Amino acid sequence: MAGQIERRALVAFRDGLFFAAVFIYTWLEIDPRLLHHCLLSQWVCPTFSLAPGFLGRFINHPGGPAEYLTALLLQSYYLAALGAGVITLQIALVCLLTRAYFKALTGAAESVLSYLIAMALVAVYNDYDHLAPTVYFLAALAGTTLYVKAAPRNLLLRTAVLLLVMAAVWYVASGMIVLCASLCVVYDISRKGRRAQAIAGVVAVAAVAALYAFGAGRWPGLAAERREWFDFEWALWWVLWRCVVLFFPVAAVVAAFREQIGRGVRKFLGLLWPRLAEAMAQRPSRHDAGPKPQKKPWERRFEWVVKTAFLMMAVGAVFLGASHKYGQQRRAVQIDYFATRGQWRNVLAAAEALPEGEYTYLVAHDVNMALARTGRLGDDMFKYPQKFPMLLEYKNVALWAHMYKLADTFLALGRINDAEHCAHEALVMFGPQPEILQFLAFIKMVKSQPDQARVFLNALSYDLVHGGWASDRLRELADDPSLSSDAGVQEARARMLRWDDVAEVFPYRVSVTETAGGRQETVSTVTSYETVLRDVIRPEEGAPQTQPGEPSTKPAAPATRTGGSPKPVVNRLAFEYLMAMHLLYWAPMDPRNPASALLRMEGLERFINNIRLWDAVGYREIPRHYEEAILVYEDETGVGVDLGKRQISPGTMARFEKYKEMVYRHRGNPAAAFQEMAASMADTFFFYWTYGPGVYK
Amino acid sequence: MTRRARYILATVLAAAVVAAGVLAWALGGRGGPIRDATEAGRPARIHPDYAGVTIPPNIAPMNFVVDEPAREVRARLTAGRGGAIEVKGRDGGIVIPPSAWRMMLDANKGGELSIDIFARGHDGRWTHFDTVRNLISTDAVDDVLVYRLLDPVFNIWQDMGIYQRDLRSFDESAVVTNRNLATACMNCHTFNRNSPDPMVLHSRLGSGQFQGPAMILAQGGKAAKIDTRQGGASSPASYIAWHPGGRLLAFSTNNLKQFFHTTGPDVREVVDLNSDLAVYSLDTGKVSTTPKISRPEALETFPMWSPKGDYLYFCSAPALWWDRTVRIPYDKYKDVRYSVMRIKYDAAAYTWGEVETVLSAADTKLSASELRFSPDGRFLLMSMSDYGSFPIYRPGTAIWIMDMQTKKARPVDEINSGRCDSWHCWSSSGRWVVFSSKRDNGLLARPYFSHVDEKGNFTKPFALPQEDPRHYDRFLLTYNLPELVTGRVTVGRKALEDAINTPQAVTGATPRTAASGPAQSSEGPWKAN
Repeated sequence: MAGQIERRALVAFRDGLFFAAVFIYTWLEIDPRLLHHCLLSQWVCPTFSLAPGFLGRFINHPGGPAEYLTALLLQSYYLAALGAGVITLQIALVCLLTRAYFKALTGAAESVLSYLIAMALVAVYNDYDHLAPTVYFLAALAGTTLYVKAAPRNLLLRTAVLLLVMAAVWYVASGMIVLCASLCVVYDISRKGRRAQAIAGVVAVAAVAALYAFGAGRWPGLAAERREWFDFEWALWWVLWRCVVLFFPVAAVVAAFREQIGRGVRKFLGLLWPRLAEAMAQRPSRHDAGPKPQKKPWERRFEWVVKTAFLMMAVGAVFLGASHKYGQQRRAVQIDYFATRGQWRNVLAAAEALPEGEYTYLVAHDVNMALARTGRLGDDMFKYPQKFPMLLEYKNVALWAHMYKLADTFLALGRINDAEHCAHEALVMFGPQPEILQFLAFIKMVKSQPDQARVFLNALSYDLVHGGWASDRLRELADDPSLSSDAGVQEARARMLRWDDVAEVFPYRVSVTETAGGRQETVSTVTSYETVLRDVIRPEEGAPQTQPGEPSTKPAAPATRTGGSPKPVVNRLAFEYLMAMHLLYWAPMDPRNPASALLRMEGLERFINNIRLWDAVGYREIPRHYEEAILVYEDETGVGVDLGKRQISPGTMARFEKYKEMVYRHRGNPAAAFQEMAASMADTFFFYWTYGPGVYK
Repeated sequence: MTRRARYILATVLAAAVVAAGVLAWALGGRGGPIRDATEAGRPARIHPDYAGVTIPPNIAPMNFVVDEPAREVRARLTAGRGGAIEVKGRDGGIVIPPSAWRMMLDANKGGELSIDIFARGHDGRWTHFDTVRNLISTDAVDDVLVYRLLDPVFNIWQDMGIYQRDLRSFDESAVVTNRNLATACMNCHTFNRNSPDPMVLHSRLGSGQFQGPAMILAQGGKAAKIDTRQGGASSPASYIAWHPGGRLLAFSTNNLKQFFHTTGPDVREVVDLNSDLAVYSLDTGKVSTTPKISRPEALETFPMWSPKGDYLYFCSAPALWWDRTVRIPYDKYKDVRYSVMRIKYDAAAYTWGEVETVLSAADTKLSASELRFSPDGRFLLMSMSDYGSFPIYRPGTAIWIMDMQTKKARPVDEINSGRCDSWHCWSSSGRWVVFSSKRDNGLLARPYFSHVDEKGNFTKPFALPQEDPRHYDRFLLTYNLPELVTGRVTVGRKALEDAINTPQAVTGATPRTAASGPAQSSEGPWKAN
């Protein structure tokens, strides 16, 4: 008795160690907040709502209850520790049900199997693009366990219980009925006297599987189910998840019929290698060996320590492997997550750990925005790979999935209508997610449209997490519809563009082509990102003068104060983005084409033309990259730039001298020049000016 | 105690618990009597605004929310005949039992419906607000409302569908959605004289292989795709109007361009760069047009046949720009205002008369669109905007009425809200009008109903009742183009989906069905002149 209690305590202790490791890994490495962020932004899972009728959308179709519960549990992921706890609890339940099933099947708890399943599930949670359908899985295992534990012996009653369980599992977890039915059938086959029922079960399982596999064309409702469970997709997550599911029936068959399978294997080997089969036949079987001798307590404890050590090593290996495999994806997701929440220093910290090759358009955008928001864009932008445009492109279809990011950028720039437009697109694409509703409500508040703000706030008030925020804002709106005391709203109003520049942002261009049939004119529109930024730098001033040499169709509209801001505003972000855009303009030098020199200077010319605005922005010192660009400009054109009272810092002057010396010393040997410059000047405008956009630094 | 006795005891206990729960629920739904209520001396704040309205006798229960700070609210509904309906509010929401509501309306047609609202404050005292008095009309509204539900779309759309709602209850079902149509766009469902059969709608490109823009004709339970890009019509049909004879469809072809203002309250703007009218004959399967309704120097759109079928009414404006295909005329689009025009049509001789001006934009200084005749032809309803032909995006769009006897037009101030009111539709009896209104928030349109008498007087409009009284608070889709029909649309979803997805548009004549109306010559419905 005491030994049994001790054994149980040891198993419980090992379980505790195991699940503590799962919890810590899930909390600190996977980070459920990132999972939540990714799954919702990809519309993998519906946003949970407390609104009446929300539940009704789920209880009227098979699989709906599991979907509802999954959406509910996903809310806990807002807090990393709580989310990790919920995930760990689900995995622990899977372990418990696994043990219960295998104990009923073989008489042993098969805890190794349960640990294996748990580790596979943790691996599944590492992928941020897919929702782990653990709730569905749990429903199937719960149904199975209920059947094997509780079904009476009477054939009719037993069949009735089986049908009831199947119906319940189908309703709760739809396609998972196949797993549940398979496990019940394996169990029945392994019991004596239930073969007829088991055969009927096999037929039923095959019929259900066939229905899903081949009936999708006939019943459209099954099509989505079929896509989910049967269509092949060669992705690690897909394979892993299928392995988790298929593992169960395979393991059950092996566990239930290990003797028969063993005999079969021996016969098969006998045909191939008769000697090996003879040797195996001479080994005493487990039954022939008689009862095992009782182990001494210290032997038991030693065995426990060894097993636990192996287990924890295996856990460590799996976690390390998964961490390595998904590390880069995780950092990219972290950057997006922090950027969405305005945690700019965290964005830069995560970006430091991201390999240069992983810099996508969106990562580069987030990093540049983080640099600008922390006041470092003019000093540090070339510390990070710069191979994309500064602004996300309006009309790039590939960016539709990131409309929310576009909206956020436009809001920061003061282009409130563009922000509203993009946020509405995001709402259409991803549904009423809390962040989008919150954003749209804010936009409407800034635009002094309280009734429209209420539309989104009312919808948001049913959100489990953001509902309180929405209710507070509704109260504020009721008290003061203009929100005149709200600093955030006032600040955004002050930044707002004051005139409609749509015609200037999307000017038409006519290209003429001479064909055999005569002249052919093609009208197209291009986006002037320079206008997008330039028009919001000083919104109080009205339409700014155009650059020298540019045509202007814009009326010099008087500034109309719509928000009642206390003093003229200079949008520093817009200014720095504009300057950065000019700095990023790069064209290769072609010695055979004299025009290339002029083309190459175009960005710098525009940069120098806009320098006059820095007084308004309020720089005390010239940002480092601006100094570098001024020096390059002066060197290339021989024309001095009026810096007012400001001066180029001695450090930049020294670097520039060094840069020129390097270029001179390595003339005729570009490879050597690149190597030396990459080692000492990779984070300067000098390097970018020489070698252009890329990630090779 | 034996095992059997334990089972019996457990069963009895369970039954008692269930019975107590049912009793508590039943009592909780009505509440006890209210005594000593203080008079508030003002009406209660409720939404939707169902106070002082005239309602059809066949409308679903008009559930509402009491927006008063209270621990508990109750409503007592009374009418001349029959007992009162007592409703205890749940979280401020008053949900009226459908069967009692039905009996009350049936018994009191032409009578008054009173609603007494009580609120119990946090001090435990009851307050009674001024009685809400509504009129139950003797005129029933058509049983079914068909509308399109969609997001407030800018460029991208996802889920979209045309739905039908039984106005006697809360039953809503999809006529067709784009869930199985690779997100194809569908719009402009059009019926002939409020009959659910036949129906046409317009489908536009989704990501499906064969989803070219086309007109979908549903008739007799079958649906077919019709490509109207023939016989002088280069673009697909947009706005469509049934000839009362049922064998002729007038339609407009439009080159609508959308752009987005970078400042100002409204972001979306649509310009019609080019539009003309044409007619499709179901008897021949041919499209024809006449230069009189497809003039190069003018924009013609929003066709509507007079109830007798002797005139085609439409909206027309001079085209102020020369590029009719690509360039948005940013400097001129606000100067375009549409007049109401008409052209005589002789159904016997298939000939057209001359174009006449019915209501000039020069007089109204506004732009007309969405023409709709009352069934008796006495009144013409239209939308009036400050400019252009896309009233749903113009915030001040109002509904106007023109008396065809006096030729006088006026804004229907009784129903206009100051925000966009448009897409109106008459009931088959001509006693009800439904329209899309953005009055609640300026962003999302909701269907509103108003009673019209024989002189063209309208009553205060009310929103389509919903089972959940807070439905409109959190429903983020917009109700577009509400159309009243006398029965359910019977064509199946699958048939419509197949028609939209098919690569093969029908050519030639469309067979007649019982719903087709009186026969016309199959040689050709009209002659262009």
